[in-house]
Amino acid sequence: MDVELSARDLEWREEVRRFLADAVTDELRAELAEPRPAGRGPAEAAFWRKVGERGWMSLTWPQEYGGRNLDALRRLILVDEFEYAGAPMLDMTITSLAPVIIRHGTPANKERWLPGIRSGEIRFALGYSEPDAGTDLAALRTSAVLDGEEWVVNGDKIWNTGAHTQTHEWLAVRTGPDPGHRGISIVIVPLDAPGVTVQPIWTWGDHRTNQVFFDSVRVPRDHLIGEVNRGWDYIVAALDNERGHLGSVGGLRRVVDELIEAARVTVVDGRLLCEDPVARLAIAELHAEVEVARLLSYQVASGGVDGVVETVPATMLKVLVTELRAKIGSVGMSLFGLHGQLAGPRAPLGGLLEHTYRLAPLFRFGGGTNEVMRDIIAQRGHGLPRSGRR
Amino acid sequence: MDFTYSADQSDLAALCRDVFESEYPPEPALAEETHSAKLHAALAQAGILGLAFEESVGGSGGSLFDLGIAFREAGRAPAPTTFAGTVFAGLLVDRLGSAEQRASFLAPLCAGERLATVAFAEPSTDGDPSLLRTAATRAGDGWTLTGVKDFVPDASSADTIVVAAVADTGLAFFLVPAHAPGVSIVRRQTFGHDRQDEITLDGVSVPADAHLAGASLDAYLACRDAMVALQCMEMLGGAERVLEMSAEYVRTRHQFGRPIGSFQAVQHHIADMAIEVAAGAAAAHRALWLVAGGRPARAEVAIAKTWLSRAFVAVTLHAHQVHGGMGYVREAPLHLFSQRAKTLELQLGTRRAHLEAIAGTLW
Repeated sequence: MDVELSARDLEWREEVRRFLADAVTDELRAELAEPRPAGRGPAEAAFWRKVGERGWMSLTWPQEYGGRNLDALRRLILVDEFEYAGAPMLDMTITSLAPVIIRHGTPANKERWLPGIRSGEIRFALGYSEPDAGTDLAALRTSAVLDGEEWVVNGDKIWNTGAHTQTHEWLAVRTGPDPGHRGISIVIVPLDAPGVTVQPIWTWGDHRTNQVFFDSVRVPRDHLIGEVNRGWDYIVAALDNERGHLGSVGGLRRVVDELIEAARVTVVDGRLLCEDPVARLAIAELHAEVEVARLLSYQVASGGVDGVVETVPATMLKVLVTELRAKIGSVGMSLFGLHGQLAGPRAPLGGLLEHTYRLAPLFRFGGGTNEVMRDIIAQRGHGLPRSGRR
Repeated sequence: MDFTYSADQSDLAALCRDVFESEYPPEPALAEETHSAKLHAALAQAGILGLAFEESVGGSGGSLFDLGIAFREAGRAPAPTTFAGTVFAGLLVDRLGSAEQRASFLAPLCAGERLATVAFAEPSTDGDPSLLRTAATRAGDGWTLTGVKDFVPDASSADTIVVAAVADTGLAFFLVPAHAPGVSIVRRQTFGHDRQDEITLDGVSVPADAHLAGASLDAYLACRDAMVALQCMEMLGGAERVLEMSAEYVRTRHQFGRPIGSFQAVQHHIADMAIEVAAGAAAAHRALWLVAGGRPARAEVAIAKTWLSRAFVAVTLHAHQVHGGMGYVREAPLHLFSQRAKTLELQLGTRRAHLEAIAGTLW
């Protein structure tokens, strides 16, 4: 047993911090703080160029594909530091989809997509959910039918967050007659292809997601990833790659650190928060819980094999961290009394708390609802029988 | 970073589990007893009582981490309270006593021939050293102790009580025979049916060599961190056992023609328990690992206690809910864990005290 990061891990953390200190500029912060961004701005584009120059676009890839084969723990350290610094998150095209192409893709898939992904010219939006297929994703109906050497795609996708900033859809489509998990494939669809319509949806968290319509969109036959009707396996594999990130606590650590600093100087009802017995203990508890969550995240990441962390521990972490986010947002706002409801630059923590509060529901139902997560923990972790869910 | 046990540590855990399970079967009527002579002898025989003490003083020459593994298993039993009380007294003497005191006190303790306990709390404080009132005054070569100690675990079954008092040198500790003239012990009525006593020290005379000469506030606080880390391992073991019992029960208990564990509402109780336990395991092991390595860990220990004290209670409440009446009867062991969870939360620093300690590291 060794509960501390190794010297190698700490060196890696320093390397990431040095990069972020240089790459996260005031211009980037200002751009990311825009309440309703139209898309990727110039400062963010510059940030990604720096990531690319560093060779970090393929960090998690095997060495034979030009990557650094970063293990799950150091990947988590990276995500933690990015979150803490308020940097844009590494694209999931790089971290979870490209590794699926590497592992399951055809030689043509690899040749066609990997170079562009590594250069940042190709970025996938995740086209999974549909209006009638959310948590029950296997009920999806968007179809792809082979017509000569082309797939013809029809249907619509929702909660398609990247559709206005990315270049292509990583699209889950029905290609076979079988219902459910079988008969699903992954097809890559350029977002500028004729027949694709992107319609914005604005959320309470001030981030833009989209509904995307596909009306007889034609893509070449070799845009299908891996084998036909094996798409469900690839969705699960991509999710496994993503698990290590779901429980990162860098963002929450930042909120609580700023709360601790604000408590030094903020007077509520005539008393500094850090001298108010109730506020002191409330913040101490948030601090303790973030620390425990971070420790569990390190434990989960360090327990992984071949870079893929175990499902049940990662699932427990997801629930823990997302429930904690809701608590931090709510408790934090309450500490400031009436001022807690302020938004914008004059709000407590410059609005970070109220934004945390508004984002909390997204994290609890997103990335697999916490209800399904709890089913998985009980069934796979403790041998309970299956419930009503398929 | 590696949260796994070595082969030796896993073997030790298995040995401890075997001793607790075979010498102290989980029969609630038996478990209401606060001491088991049979179990205590077996713990001595297996070298578990002396795990963290050097072989030169009769111990097994293991580490504090090894002792933590034993505490985790004790929490599963749940072991009689004399186990932790005696070991805690031994830790204080080991760290604060002279070579002669260590040898004469620890050898019989490791052999299972000495039951001891630590008397710290008083009517004026649960655990703040600056609020102690019990006075130790010099009398010739020795000392006279006067004051009231409260909530002392198993004082009546102990032969020696390690008493915290205020001397002219500051915080001091004394080895007081439980039957010394001037010592009177009155049992407190506690909800957990455990044995906690109020001790009145009415001019109790002790010789010079009863004074633990190495005592200082810092040395005591470091030792207390070790005790709290061990206590966290005990709470972890208890919570793990309750989770296992609950999962087993809902897998096998049928209603409406199916196992109740197939109902989502029941599954979510189990999932929430599992999360509390998983996070608690990480926190407890970090605290233990740091204190066992002699590292400063005040904040990490307080964080572990804060988490586990809340988590163990929460886990027992979930467990009662999924067990229903079957877990509520006195013949079932669940209530033993439920009362131990609350008692351990309050002992060695309440949640509030540990949160205050954490706050002290922030501002």
